[in-house]
Amino acid sequence: MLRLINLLTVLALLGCAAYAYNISYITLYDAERIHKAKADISRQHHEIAFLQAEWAHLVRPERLQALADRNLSLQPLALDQIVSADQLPNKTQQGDPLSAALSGLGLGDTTSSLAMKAHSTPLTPHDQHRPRRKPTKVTLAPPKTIADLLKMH
Amino acid sequence: MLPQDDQPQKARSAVLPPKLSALKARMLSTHLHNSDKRINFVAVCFLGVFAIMAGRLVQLGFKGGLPGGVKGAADQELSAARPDIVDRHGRLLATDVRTVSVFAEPGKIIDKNKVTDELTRILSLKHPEALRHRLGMRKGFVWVKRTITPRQREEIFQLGEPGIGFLPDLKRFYPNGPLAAHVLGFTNEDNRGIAGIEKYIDEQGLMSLHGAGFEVKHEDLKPVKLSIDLDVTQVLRDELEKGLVKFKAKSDAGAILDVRTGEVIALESLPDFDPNDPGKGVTAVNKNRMTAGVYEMGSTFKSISIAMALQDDKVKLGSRLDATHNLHYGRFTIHDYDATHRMLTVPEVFVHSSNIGTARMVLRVGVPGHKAFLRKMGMLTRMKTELPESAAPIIPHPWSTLNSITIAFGQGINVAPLQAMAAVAGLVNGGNLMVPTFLKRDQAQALKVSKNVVRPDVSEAIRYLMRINAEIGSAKKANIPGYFVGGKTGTADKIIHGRYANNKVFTTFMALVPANKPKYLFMVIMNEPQGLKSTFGFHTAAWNSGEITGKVITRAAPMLGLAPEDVLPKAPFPLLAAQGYTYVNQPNGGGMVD
Repeated sequence: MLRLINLLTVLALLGCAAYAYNISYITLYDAERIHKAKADISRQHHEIAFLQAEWAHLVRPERLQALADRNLSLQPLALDQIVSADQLPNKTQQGDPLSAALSGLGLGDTTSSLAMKAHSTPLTPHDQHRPRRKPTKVTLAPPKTIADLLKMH
Repeated sequence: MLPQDDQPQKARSAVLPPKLSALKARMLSTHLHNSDKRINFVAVCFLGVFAIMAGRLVQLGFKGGLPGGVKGAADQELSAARPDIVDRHGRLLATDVRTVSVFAEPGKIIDKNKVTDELTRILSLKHPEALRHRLGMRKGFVWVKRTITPRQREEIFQLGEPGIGFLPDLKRFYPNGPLAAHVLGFTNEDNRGIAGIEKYIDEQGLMSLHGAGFEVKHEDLKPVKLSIDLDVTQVLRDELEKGLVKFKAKSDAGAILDVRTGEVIALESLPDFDPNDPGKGVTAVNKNRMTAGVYEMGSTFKSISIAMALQDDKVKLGSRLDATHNLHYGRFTIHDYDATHRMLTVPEVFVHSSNIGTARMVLRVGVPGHKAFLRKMGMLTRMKTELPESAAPIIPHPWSTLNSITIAFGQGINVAPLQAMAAVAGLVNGGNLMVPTFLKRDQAQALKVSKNVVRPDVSEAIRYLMRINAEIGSAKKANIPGYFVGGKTGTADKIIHGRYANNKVFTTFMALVPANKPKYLFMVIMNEPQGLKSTFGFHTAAWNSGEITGKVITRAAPMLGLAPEDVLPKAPFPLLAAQGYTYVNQPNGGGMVD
């Protein structure tokens, strides 16, 4: 009887030990994974910060202004271009010479050319006085990278 | 019994030589009286060993910083993480980027000359002798160079030198370069704030945490939100830069203040610096002239004098002041730049910028009252904002009646331009003086820390005066249609060798947008602008600072959410109208001022 109890106790002890070791190793393994994940998160944070810094550097107002002046055919906003909605004139009936010509030819008014015409009319009153400049292809010097900027003095 | 026991020993010892046998007898004897010496011997051995260990411990304790302490030394040297700085719309102004720095353990380097040569080549160092000196130091840890490129890192790695190592480091990066540099300030190599808001952040307790050994992670720090608007700052800087070139001025500066909250929306001072590479840092040439310089504000100071006279009921808006003759006081004569030689009403004094008229108003208040009012307006003490760069005003001592007379029109007192702006903002916003801030806040917070300085009707009178000055007076260049601008010019002759030199001037311009419901106060100052052909040779404020302010308003007002109105406001100055000055609500002041 006593022998059986002893045997069972030993078995139970072995079982407990095995379980405890198992738990311990799983914990260790998980802890390592957590540690790795944390390190990864930290690295990603740094990478995000770096990209944000680079983006902020690329869209800095000074650079955008220079690029816009050089490559866009837009003018700076004039204050008289800002009006409230009720100040906008009603749409006038301008007629559609192209569709009239088409119907004159007996082709009928299938499509309106107004939509296409809209492109040829200047967007702003200022543009009327200025020949439309073709956006010139300018090869830009490669933007300074952060690495360049961080070069020590 | 004993002699019997000794018997066999004696028999054996008879075999061995007598000397050896005696020694052996002593060594192997188990008798207590014989083992004393052995025990002593062992004890002495142990004592010796422990003494050496203890001595070594004491030595280590005193010495410190041995090669084993590299990690600790590096922790102290490594850059502290700093919070991001963002503008009022959350756009990035300053951030930390992770870089790699290279360090050395001099004790582990054998051929120091060779290592110095190699590192000098790879890092293209300008001062190799400085590195040689550092490597020769008896320290466990020295920096070779902070912030190296990945390529340099690879090359150094290829050297395979055991005494050279790399550490991840943080470097402060300002994506917008010199934009708002004077507000942001900069940091040193250890990422500690040296100037501007950066220094302010450190003073808020960040560095004490780092010093105490707490590791502060960048992502745990909340960004510091400034009141600055990045785009508006760009407009201001761009126009100031163009103005500097056009008017061949030595320097210029400007700021935009939200008069409702005291927030600084933009502040620029040229010449400036790039905080990414501050070089010599802030010098007399590129200092922040808006806060760290004091100047005579000239006629822009008249707003304060007139507000004081109105507040003390010494004059009313319609009061007439004698400007028929120059004002004599002692051996001094006060005269007007644009003399009218007649009686002037208060609006006329302002529009003609009459020194005589303003001086007479201040004389009615008297010296003690004048001093008290200026003190209340914060003109006599150093203004402390978040920026550590500040300058105390220069005030006359002793303060005579003559001082009051000249101070009435802005001569004889030097204040920081932002300080003068704060005073005018306090006058026009209904009378609530507040210290400008560079941090974002709302109106409720601002009113809590504000101080009431003038009555609402006095505030409205100053707005009216500025408005009419923009319509028909010297501030016409900033009268941008649609914004109901009010403005005031100021031109002060610079003092060279103790005398006013009239060919060198300091010009100031303040503009209020809009004058009926004030929102923003614009200011531009110029140091020694030159007269040009296009300005008919004039170098007074209206021609230079005024023009720049006008351009800034044109570009910045839509960004600030102000839409131009194509009709003038119907009753812009109701309190004055209720007092009987109905003409103030008519265009051009109803012809009351000519």
